[in-house]
Amino acid sequence: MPEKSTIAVCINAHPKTNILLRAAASKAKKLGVPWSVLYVETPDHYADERESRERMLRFLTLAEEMGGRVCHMENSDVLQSITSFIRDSQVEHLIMGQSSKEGFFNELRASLAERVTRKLRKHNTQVQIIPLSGRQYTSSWFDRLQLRDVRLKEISFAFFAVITAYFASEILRASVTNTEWQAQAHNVTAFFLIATIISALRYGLIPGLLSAIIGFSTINYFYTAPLHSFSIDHSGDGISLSVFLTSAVVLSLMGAFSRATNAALARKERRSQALYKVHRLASEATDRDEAFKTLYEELMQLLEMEIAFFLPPTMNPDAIELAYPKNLDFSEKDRQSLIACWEEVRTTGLGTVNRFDSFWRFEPLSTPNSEIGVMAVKVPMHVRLDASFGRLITALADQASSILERLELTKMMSESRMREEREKLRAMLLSSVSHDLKTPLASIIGSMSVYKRMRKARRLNDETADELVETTLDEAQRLDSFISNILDMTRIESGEITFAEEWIDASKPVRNVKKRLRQRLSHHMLNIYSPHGEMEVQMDEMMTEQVLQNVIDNAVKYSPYKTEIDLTYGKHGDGFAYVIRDRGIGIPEDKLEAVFDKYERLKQSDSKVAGTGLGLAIAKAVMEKQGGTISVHNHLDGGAEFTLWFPNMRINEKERNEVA
Amino acid sequence: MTLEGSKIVVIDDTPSIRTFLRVSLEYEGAEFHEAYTAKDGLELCKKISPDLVVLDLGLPDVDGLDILPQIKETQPGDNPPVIVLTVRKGKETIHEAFEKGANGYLTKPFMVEDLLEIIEKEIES
Repeated sequence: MPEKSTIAVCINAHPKTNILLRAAASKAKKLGVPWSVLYVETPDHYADERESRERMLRFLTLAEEMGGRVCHMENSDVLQSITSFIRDSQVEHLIMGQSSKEGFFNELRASLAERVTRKLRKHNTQVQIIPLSGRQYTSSWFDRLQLRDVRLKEISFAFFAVITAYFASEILRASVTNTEWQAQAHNVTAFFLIATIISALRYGLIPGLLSAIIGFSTINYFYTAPLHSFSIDHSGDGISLSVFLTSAVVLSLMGAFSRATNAALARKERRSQALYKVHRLASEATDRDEAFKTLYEELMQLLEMEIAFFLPPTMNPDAIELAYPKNLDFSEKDRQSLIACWEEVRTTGLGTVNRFDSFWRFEPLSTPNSEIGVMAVKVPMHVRLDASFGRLITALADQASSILERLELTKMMSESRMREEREKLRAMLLSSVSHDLKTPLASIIGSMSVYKRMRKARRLNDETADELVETTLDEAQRLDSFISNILDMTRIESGEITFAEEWIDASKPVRNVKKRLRQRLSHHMLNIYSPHGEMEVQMDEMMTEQVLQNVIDNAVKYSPYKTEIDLTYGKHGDGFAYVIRDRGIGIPEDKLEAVFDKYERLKQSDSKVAGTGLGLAIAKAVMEKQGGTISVHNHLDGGAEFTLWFPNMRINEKERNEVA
Repeated sequence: MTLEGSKIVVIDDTPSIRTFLRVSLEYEGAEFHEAYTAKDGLELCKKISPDLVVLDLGLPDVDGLDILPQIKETQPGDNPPVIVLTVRKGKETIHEAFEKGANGYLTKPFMVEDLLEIIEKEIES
């Protein structure tokens, strides 16, 4: 026994051989022992596959870089080479890879790893077998013909096809006269050829060839002289049978190739269709949750497997947590795989080296720019795990990543656009507010400067003095109302104002507003109607006055001089309403909702009509806070009609007492 | 200090501004004319060929800057002189106004003396 045990790893051109090298290197490092790499080259092995040879060269170079001692042997008996190497070099740990076994023939055959294990059973060497997922990634013609996947069903079909051909021949024999049969006997080969072609087209090369051989034997046994014997009397029969066999083999090959090509095309088509569908549906998603939902549902349906998506939580971008669906049965081992996948950005879980006994397969969702998250697929027991499945999952994960990345970018863009928009509106609001404050101030300062100037010159008569003072007062009131509006809007928006719910005589706010707007209404007629008598309405008196003032002020602003404005109040629907109608230009139909938007005025070219456009926005906010509504429509005879509706009304106290 | 007999057109949509300008200009002896919209203002200028125009930029129908060149076209030469009123203080607005032919510029609010000073200077020249 040497003082230190050594480690050896057997490799071949399997594309995942680097996993074996990594395992050996890390084990050697842990134990602090040297390790060697054993490669047995057989004379026929990979002789014609350039890619395999190149890969082999790469792995051997990699092994040397990782510190392994490469031992390259040439021998046709691989098993013998390995065992003798282990004895000679006194290897204590042997690491071997084992591809997953699939297909009829492979299941019968013990893998090299199993045979080595068996042979070393009595030897003092530990053999560690590492499963390597899938077969080789490059598919040779051998793979494409699916020779390894021959199943019992397919072989039975070959027999079934030949038996059918035999019965068809027998029916032909029974349906014609003996003489005719003599003349046609050779044509039965056609039936068997058909059986061969069908087998080959349906199940590939092996069943095809099998049908050819059984067909050959059947013809020989039943239809050539001597009958019921495998010997051949006539050279003619020998020639026909040879021709049959040759054609059957050629047809099998052709059938198998065409089938393989078709199958490959169909597979590709199916996959690209599925991918396309997933992509299309998920692309329609406008936010992340929607995209996850679509991806989840579509992938579940496509793969018939459970799917889950994981994302880093917003607060902790290094961690990873379940994003969709909301609940998932997940074990500690699954979690380990998930974390490995997220941290190392590579596929983990079922069918990979980092499996941790998980039934989930974890695929990183990453784009060239960032790691987005992890997609997990729970692979049911009965599903075959092969290279093409792995590729499909990877392709789906890529799709999902690009969709999620696109959504993330779109979101970021729209957020920044919204921020810009908001900033712009804020700036416009500010300039509009300053405009509205400065216009009345301009009148006040201007009027007073005229007043002062004329007083000084002692040229001011009473009439002019009155006019200037009136103008000043009027504008000062307008200024006050602008300021109130701005303050109100701010306070309503911040929730600072609490609304009273008192029973108020409906005529009271009307009287007050009329008084307050006297100057404003100097060029208009305000008609007040109360067709249902006096009544009380549950409202906040001050705020309702403000609303009425804003709406009437708006009516004045948008209707010509000398026109009438009607204010009608009374029962309306199952509540109470003030209805204000002007004879102005009305409101464009598509703007009926927008007039209550505080930014609406700003979006149009500014400062056409004095006012921030806040008035109606405040009216709406106030009405809603009082449990009522404000609405507008264009009157049939022209002009706009605003309705301020309150839910609670009653006839007023005096009248109630009179009734009682 | 007299504007005796000068025809002055004020185009502004704020009634109270027009009021104090009327009082003050009539007191100085000017013939006062007023318009509420850009369209009416332009018509008025064509009709009466004023000696001076006071133009507010924030009009309800058309931006004052847009009708400024048209007002200048109503008379030959650099006439009529146009004094622009606005609450906008931006350098671009001032620059644009002068480029389009404005002769004076005043931001609201202003003292009436400031306006009269500009008007007198323009009418004398």
